[in-house]
Amino acid sequence: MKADTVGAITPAVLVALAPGEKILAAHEIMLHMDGAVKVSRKTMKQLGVSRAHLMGMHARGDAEENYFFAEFEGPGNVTFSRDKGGEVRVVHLAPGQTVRLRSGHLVCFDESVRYFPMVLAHWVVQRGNDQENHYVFADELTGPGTIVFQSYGNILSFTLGPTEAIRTSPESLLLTAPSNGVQVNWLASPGMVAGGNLEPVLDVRGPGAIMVHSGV
Amino acid sequence: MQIQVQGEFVPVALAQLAPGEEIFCEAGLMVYADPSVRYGIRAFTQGGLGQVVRRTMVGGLPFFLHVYQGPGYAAFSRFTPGEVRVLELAAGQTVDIAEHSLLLGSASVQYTTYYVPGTGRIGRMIGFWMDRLSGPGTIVYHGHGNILGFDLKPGEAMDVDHGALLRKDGSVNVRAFNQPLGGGLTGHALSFEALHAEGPGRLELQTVDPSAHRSGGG
Repeated sequence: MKADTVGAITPAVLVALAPGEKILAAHEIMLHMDGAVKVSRKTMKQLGVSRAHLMGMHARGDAEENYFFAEFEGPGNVTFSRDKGGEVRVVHLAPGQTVRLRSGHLVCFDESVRYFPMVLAHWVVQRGNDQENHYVFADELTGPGTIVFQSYGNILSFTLGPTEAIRTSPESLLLTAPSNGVQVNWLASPGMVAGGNLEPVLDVRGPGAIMVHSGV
Repeated sequence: MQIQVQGEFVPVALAQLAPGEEIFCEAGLMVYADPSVRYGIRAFTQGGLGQVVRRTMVGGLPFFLHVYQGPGYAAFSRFTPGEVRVLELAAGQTVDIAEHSLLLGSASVQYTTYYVPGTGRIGRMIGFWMDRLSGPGTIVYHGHGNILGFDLKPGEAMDVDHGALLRKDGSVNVRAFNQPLGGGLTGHALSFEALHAEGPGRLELQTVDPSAHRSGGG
């Protein structure tokens, strides 16, 4: 696919599809498309995601849109927008190359890209006798093929060395290479009431690429 | 401390901290940081119990401030489109920043609050708090939308919307007033509340009202 970014503050993605070329896109983010473009549905099962895994993800509170993707088949143009301010990135994945993208930021991807939803981080907050589970969901995408995603706010990119680490807020982590380890940590202070204003953070350890974004 | 502004329309302020160097900020602003940066919490107890209750329960200001200590780096954002400004305060220099606009301040900066009373009319603004910061030290703040700056001469005045006020020098006096829309009772009934700012000093406005942004955008 050939994907271009249109606009600056709230960008849209214009995808030009060759005859027979197929892309998958998140549900309900299409702005417009040519009449010649065919639209169908691709379920998670068709993408190789087992029902048990999917049910497990949804039990944790994953977004409903991930039950299926909309499939667009060329020839023609399709435009997508996530309706929020941010930056769009078009990334070409080599065969076997994998990235983990925060859920809710994927715009579209080539049919050849393997998609797998996953939990990137999980932590528990104790509130009285109740336990609240919190998750950072991610879309694991493996090449070959092109993926398009959007950040909220600006994207800041880093490449971590084998011993390097970076700490991010849970909301700020946008993309990480699978070679990076992601660990939940807590910002705590001596003398604080236990379970009070503890703040979860993600410690990402290299080696690998990482992107954070400045908006929510 | 070195400050670098990264990003364009949702910028972050990246602080490079020397060993032992310390900054403070509100909770929840950190985007990313060096894991070696030490983190702590400082209770904002200035003014005693009465002032604490007034600030936190009435004004909605935080009771805890987060503290980050070097060596290392830490980046902070208000997560909304805008501009970030870095201001070096001389010893004794005082500025007031709209609440929830301060990104960070160096440990040497004195942090208090400043209350601007409302007009007292029923159904109108009861007043609002600003962050009062006094040098010496460095502060970094975020303006929602674009920042417009004015240098007011002594006695020079400007009427501004409450949501537009971002920063003023301590020497700039601000008071709330009702602006009637035409004459008579109808004009007064339809009046809106604004702020009268009078120099001398620096006045900075922001082009997006953050309260409208929060309620509208969630």
